[in-house]
Amino acid sequence: MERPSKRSGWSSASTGGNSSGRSCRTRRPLTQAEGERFRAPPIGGLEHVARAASVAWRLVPSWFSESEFQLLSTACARLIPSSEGVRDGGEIAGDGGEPYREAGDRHSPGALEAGVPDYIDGFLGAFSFDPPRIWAGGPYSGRNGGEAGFGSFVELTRIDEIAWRTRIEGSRGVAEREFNGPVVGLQERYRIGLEALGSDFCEISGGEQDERLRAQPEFTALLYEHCCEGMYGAPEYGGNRDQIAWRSIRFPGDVQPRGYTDAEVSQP
Amino acid sequence: MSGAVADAVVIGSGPGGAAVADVLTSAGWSVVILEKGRNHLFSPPIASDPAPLGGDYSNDEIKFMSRHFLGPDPLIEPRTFRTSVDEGERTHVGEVNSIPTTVGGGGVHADGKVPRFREEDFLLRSAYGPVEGASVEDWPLDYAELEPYYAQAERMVGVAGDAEANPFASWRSGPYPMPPGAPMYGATLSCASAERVGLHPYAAPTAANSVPYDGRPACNNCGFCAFFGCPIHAKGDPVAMLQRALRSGNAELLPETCASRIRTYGRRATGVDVIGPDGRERTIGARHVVVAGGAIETPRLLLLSGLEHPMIGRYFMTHFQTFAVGVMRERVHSHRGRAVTHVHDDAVLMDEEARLAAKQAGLPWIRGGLVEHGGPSHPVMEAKLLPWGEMHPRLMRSSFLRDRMWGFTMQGEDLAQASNFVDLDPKVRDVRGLPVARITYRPHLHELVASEHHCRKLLRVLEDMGATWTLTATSPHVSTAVRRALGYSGAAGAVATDSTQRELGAMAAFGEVGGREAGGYGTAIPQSRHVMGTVRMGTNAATSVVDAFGRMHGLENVVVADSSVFVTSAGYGPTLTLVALAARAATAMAGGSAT
Repeated sequence: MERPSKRSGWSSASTGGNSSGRSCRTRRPLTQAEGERFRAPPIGGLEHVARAASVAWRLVPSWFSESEFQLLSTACARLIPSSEGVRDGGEIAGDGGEPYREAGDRHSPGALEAGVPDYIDGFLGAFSFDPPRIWAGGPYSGRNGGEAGFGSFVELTRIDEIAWRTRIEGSRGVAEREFNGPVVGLQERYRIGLEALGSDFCEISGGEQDERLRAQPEFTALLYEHCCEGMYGAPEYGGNRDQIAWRSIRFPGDVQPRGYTDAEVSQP
Repeated sequence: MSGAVADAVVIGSGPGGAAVADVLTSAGWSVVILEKGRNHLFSPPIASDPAPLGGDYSNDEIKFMSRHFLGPDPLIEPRTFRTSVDEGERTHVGEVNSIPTTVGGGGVHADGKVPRFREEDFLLRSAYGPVEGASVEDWPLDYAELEPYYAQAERMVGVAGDAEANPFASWRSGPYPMPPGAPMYGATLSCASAERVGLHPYAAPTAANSVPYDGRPACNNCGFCAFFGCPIHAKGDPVAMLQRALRSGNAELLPETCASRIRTYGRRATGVDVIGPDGRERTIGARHVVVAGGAIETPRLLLLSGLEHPMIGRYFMTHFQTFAVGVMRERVHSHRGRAVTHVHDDAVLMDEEARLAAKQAGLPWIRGGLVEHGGPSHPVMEAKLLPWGEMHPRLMRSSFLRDRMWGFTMQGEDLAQASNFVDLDPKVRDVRGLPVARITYRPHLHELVASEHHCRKLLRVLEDMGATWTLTATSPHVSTAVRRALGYSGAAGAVATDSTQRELGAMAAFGEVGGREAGGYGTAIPQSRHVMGTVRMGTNAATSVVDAFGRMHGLENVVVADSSVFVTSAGYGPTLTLVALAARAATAMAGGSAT
């Protein structure tokens, strides 16, 4: 993976302390050719990531508005920032025991390099696709042999659709979704949560951004949970682009049908 | 077959229902298997095979750990919870025990540790005596009666193990069908330390193929085992039993079909009302009805059917889990291998130290349970435990909560109490409009004392392994208030911590907590998927619901074939025992003997 430039917008956002609007990633409008529902990999500081990605054209519904997506991206970068590396492992505070030392000075990618906002955008817009992008298919990703099946999402049944539409869209007064009363959906929680961060969220300092995130712990907990999924889950859901996060933490990800040899299981 | 009257309608396609279907179809019975969840275990039938293996399972943490792929989805199939009737109607709505709702049931997600119980487990009252506040009873059958069916169950499921390895195991009539698989690296370390501390670890009897078996391949150690369906079908979930039943031509599997009521006439059941995939209701006629929905859904269905035995739902049991985990100096890569390869039984036994601990707490005895050696292996789960912000990337890279963590989970025996039960929630409904199950549960003093006592020894093992630090937790979390209420005065120490953060770390590290919608971290809701005891078996129709063959007293063509019938919880996973009991019950139905 090419090391990102320190001058690129998302990089400065993720390391904090930036006071300009550069911290927000911008998205170009869709061209006609890209159709109404699909767009190209985002550009602007991420070309190198897009080039490296195993899938050249990803299918991502644009559920968020441009301004919401900017807010979302900036917030994600505060929750999982990129890190300029830990020299010789450094001392890892908060881990409570002896420092864990690891040779090398590696850049740790953050939420933006991994495409975490696209993961969230894809989740909230899951029903823009047929089948809806809820459950990636199986049995293999193709990364370790076998056919690539993760990209073909699993069809939903009538009951599955009630569950996931209710969770994402909310019950909206639909009787079959309100058997235990109204449900507020994720889309609404995101709309309200992002709005509460403030329209100037992208312009204020990293420290101030953190304060606003802490001021609404429920939304931030939701956002962080989705950040973790988008960061360290399978790339087919739109995040963890090119397995960038897995490689950073030395996790091999899915391994079927190769698996591990008995020696790999039993030896250090 | 639909429309006609089946010889048996089996409700639930988990290990219990699958075992019954396997035995009955091989005896020539016509069987309809109802499963309210989806069928991801098999692909659609083809001309040459009515049950080709499915391709939906995958190494995908989002799908299985965050998005309820195997069900139940707590939004549409919630359960409710409270620790006692004093808390009002409920304190929680949502996820309470998410043992899968899918074809294959709990067998699909389990990592397949399938120990047998020991002889004394069936004679707990005779061997150990009563405990105040608990209902400690003998089972209406003993180990010797069940042993042939244990052997049959091990062959039906496909179990790898070493008959000589566990010095505390009860006798067995033959070897395991397969030898054990490769030991995980972390287990080689923890076993060596455990032996130095005086324990007796051994290769866990595991329902994952170590060699090709029943036409399915050997496990290739992918590590996505507990909580995941097996992409290559090397796991001994009920796949083999269901496949045999379907290939016999005598069985029909109806997924996405929910049993809503057992119809009865006098002392007999006549059929089952079901709600199909399209939401329409119909009735399937049956000469026998087998209920195998698990220890929560089975009593729920019996209550929905208007059956009025006062013991239905009573004596809900789970396993009291104790986690003792440590951070290692090196990476132990617990993502390679079949989740848990080694266990030890020492905590099940009473020794002088345990007798002393019991006596100090005013108890006649304490029993822990099987201790599993293992480590966490899923990074999304790991990440959710860490704080957000600047430290996040470094903590993930150091991986102290995953790649460098190793430790133990004890599945502690949970004593049956009359105040722990499953009934119908008076208000909360599922997506089909049916009242959901409500669980009322809190542990007995016995579980706390046993947990605390055995946890100390596990910490000694971690110390011997050179752990840089350790943390401990239990599930359910037992708050200071509950501790006081139970009269527990344990010294500050392993189990007596109130720190939710640490509980959360240990539990989630071992995959025992689900996503945000899970019952909640560090709560009083038990996270163990082992549920037992709500339709107790016994000889007395006043104090039990079914007889030793699972037949309901007073409704003798209704057979319960899951862990609901357990009289005690033992300290072992329930799967093999419930399969053995189900095979025995089905054999009796068909008028035969163990094969």
